[in-house]
Amino acid sequence: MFKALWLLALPLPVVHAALDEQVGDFLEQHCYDCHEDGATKGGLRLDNLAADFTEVGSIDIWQEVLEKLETEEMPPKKKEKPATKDRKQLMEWIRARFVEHDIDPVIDHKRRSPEFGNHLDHKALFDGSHLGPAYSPPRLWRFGPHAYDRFVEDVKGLRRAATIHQPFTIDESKGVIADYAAKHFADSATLQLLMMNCQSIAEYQTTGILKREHDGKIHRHQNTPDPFRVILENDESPDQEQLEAAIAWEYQLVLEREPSEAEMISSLAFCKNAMRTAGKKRGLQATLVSIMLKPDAVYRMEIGLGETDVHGRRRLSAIELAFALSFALMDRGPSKVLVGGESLLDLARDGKLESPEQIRSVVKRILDENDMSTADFTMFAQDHKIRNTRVLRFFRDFFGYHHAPRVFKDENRISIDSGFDTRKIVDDCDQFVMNIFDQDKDVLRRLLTSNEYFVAYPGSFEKFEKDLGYIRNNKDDQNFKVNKRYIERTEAAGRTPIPIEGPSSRSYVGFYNIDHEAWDFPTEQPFPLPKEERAGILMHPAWLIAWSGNFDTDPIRRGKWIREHLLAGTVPEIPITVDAVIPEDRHQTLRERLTATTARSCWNCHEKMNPLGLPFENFDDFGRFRKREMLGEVLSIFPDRHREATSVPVDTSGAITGSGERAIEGKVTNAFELVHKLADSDLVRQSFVRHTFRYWLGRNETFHDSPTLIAADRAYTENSGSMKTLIASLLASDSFLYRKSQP
Amino acid sequence: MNPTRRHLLKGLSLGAVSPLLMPFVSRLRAEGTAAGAPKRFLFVVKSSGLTPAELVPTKLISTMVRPGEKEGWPMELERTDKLLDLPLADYELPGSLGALKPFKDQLTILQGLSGKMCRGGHSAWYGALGCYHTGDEGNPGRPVSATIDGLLARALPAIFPHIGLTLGGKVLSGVKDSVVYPGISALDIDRPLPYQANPAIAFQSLFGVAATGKDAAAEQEVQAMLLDHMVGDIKRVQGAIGNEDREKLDHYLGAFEGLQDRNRRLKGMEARIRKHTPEVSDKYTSEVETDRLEAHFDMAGAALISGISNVVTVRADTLDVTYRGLGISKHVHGLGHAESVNGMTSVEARRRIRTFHLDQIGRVAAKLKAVPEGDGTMLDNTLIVYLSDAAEKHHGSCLEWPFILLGGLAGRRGRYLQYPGYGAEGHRTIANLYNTLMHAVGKPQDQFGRLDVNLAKSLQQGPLPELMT
Repeated sequence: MFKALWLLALPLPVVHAALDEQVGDFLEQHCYDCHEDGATKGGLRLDNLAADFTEVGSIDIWQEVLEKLETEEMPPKKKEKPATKDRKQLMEWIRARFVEHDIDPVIDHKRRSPEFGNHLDHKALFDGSHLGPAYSPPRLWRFGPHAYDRFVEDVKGLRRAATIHQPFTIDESKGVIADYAAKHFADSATLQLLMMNCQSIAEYQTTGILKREHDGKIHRHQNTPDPFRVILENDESPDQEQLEAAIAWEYQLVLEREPSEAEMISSLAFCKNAMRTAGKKRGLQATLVSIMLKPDAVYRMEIGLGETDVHGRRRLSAIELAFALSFALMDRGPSKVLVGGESLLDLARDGKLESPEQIRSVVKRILDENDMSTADFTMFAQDHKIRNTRVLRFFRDFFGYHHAPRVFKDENRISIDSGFDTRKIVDDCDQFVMNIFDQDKDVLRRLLTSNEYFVAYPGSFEKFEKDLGYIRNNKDDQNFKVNKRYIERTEAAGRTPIPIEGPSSRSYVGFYNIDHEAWDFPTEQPFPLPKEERAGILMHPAWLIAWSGNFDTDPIRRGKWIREHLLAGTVPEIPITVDAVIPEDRHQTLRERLTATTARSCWNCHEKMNPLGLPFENFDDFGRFRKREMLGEVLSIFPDRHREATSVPVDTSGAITGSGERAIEGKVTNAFELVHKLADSDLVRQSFVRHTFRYWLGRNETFHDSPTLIAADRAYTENSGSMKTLIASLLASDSFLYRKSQP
Repeated sequence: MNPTRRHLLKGLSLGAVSPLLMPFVSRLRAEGTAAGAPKRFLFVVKSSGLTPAELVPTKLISTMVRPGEKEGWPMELERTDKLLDLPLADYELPGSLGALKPFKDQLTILQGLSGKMCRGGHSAWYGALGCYHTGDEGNPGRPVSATIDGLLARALPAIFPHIGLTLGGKVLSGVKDSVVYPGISALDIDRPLPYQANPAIAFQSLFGVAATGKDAAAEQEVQAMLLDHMVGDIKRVQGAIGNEDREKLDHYLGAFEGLQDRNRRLKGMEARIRKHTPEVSDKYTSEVETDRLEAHFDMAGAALISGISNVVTVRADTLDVTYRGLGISKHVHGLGHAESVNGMTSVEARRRIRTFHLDQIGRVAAKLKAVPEGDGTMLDNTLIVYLSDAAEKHHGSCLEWPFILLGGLAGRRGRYLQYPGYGAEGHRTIANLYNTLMHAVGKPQDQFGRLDVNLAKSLQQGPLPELMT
């Protein structure tokens, strides 16, 4: 019957007739069981699907069919597996129809996005069956917001003089490596902001910017380099040499290079023209703007200007490599990144950045020389001595803990004296990860299991004394007396006070189950928290809050995070028919309320998440350790205020299933057992390597990258879990160094 | 990709149309084209849900509205099993719609549509205007196809095809000061539309041409030279690197060329723009949310009236916005969770915010109405659409999706229209509404976005006849 319908629906029945029958056969044999009239699983019905590639509805379904086939998500594992040949034939047939009708396969878009990184058979990626050779596509990678900030900082005094808008925003999603080369474009919105910034910078560099300051007076902010001054302060028209010097100066500032001959000619012509039209001052400004808007001020060019090898791959030229490395590590250009006394750009020019050994050694040195112990207090996260924000941002993207402040919690539950300050928890967590990174030993294991935390640590003993001294003497603070009494009381009891001003601010340490009134502040950190309460970052309040809901913990998303980030697994997108709302019955534990997801139709997906997330139920949704779960109306984060609440012991059981690694499969009794199992796993380590690759390469891995990943994984294990060695291995890999267009 | 009506009819005569399209095609033929189609659109998208019960005319409240799920929570609208089609002329508008009283005959209160093909919760993201499921709590996901404002922007081209003005960025964020992508509008697949959050910058780019001083001529010439120079420069780079990652430079080049083109066309309209340019005031640089919104609405109206754009979307707020200018010291999110504030219940505070939005809409409508056009006024040819991206409540279920429509849908106006509840016979979805809009601009399509698979397909196709004639 279905075949008749199928043929009826064909727009051009003559063409492809033979293949269409096979298409019909495939669908009948492998799909209709679950997707036909009366059995529309996931809301999808295929038996009435027409071979119509003009109608939106059916195109959508064909898109989905193609995606499920290519990712091998369907037919499900429990069903009979179609022959590879048949599957391939159907995929090709769909793709051919798409080409005919000028339809973009959605799956191709998805493959380029970070959310889709795991849709590549993990085993095959690491079993050595793919021999490469590895390469990246030639590409233009738009500068990120941090690199732009760095550039603005390098124009001294600019921030004080003018409002600079961030043109290179990145849409950050929780737990996603956001800065992919393929994802970001400079479009008209970018250009609009860039042009405004460039005009401000050009004015700042020439005539100066007038600005009313807090004192009510108007001040001129100006930073005019000599080559510009010569032109502007001289009554005569500038000569060729002066103009060339000015142009070259701006090239150096913005692009860290000299203009080519053609560029110089074109810039000169423009400059003279502009000066003729609108005067010397305005003409020079326009010229500066034109240099600041050049494509390589917006995109890092990674074309592969070096030699071509036998595989048709082009190597990055030494200069391209210097740029690629310096932005990969430090968010700034290679003339500003120093290794020993020499800049990265000089190293490249001197031929000291050629062999993989040289590259690895330079990378390691840069990472070593920029750790927390050598940082000053002027950098980002200045109080916490975190200098290498490129590395820090990897951890933030990967774990997503810095989203903690963005999770709304009902104000009724946190009356004003609660000290619900999640930003401090994020600072603590930043220090936790960067300290482990700097130590560079068993990094992943320690991230997952260490109970050595930082809490309210100002960065050093000197800074601690400075902060405490400030609090002691800050009479202007409305809590001055309260603070003073707190310090005196604490010291009289032989304890060290917390160097934070104000009792409600201090009380945030409660999220670590620490009583701020009775705590003896450790001036040396990290320090161990009770090991039966905390182990690793997944039990850090920052991570727990970031992955919690408005009122509850969030075992589903926590489990999803573990599945996707640590087990290299995938969880299908939520079917459009599912109304994913957890029942509100507050007389049940969250685990009980989630039993709705164990229905057969839900469990297929939820099995991948819930058992991994539920062990963390011995933390409440503010990340505090608990042994009992409160029931009833949630009114406050203070359990003792629940007058009518009852509580029940927490069930922390869970399981690792479907990971593909036998050694870690099975039930776990609590989160501690879970994270230790994960820390021991090869799969987890490799999954971490894959994410590291994505961050530093700015794209998803392909099978071509298999040798790169295997080598990076080996570099990590053979060097006692050194993440710096892992990064060095990636940045000296063929994947990083070579460019080849994709077929 | 989307077959236009003409294509469809042409296809029909060739006998090559999918049988699935047949009923729609015949319907189209029967309906014909609506006269006096709107020429411009203003979408106003608030966050935290638009409460259906709050839109019910006062006389109907006792029969149509029941108490909320808990004390302090918004009242709820009784569903109907039959289409309710009442003339607003016979009823008094509810309080928050007060500003729309002068336009009662051009107003439609639209209730009972569903949008279950979308994600619910804090935001349906692109789904709210695009009818599909995307994103999660904090992240808009991908736009898998154009949203209605994007499609209309393509159908009604102008110097600025689409103008997005907003207070904040993504739904959970607070007030922003730059270009943001709130994740609610898209021009096409993977082409999210940007919004400007800074009124002063928006003003500069929309009306700057009319605001230049005495050195204007030389300045404009330098600008033009700069753009020419950049276009040449980028083309040179393109030539040097060939086809590698071409799209990236194409975008950048396109941005310059777009600006060149825009400046040329703006110049041609200089006098007209100058005439309608809103007066710059402190509002444009104010940090008070209501000031910024007023500035945005001023610009939205001016942009439509001057003709520099035919489609504007105002993202009226996001959940971390606090309406200090209205004496509300808690953010919208808190109010959505029924928190009381400054002696008001959350319902009262939310009403105050809605009243403010509708006052702004009323202001724009009055300006449009003051400009004659054809046999009527500009308002007759402009449709203002007010909705929330979270459908009917703070954590939207999308079972109900209320709209306020004001202005030029030629057909029957001045109605309170409530469609039968979800699943009942005659129930319709937001896709039908958007089909109606596409139909009205002469670009009919049979289906909008994705289908709600739990509803009959035929129900979700085609326009809403009740809005047509």
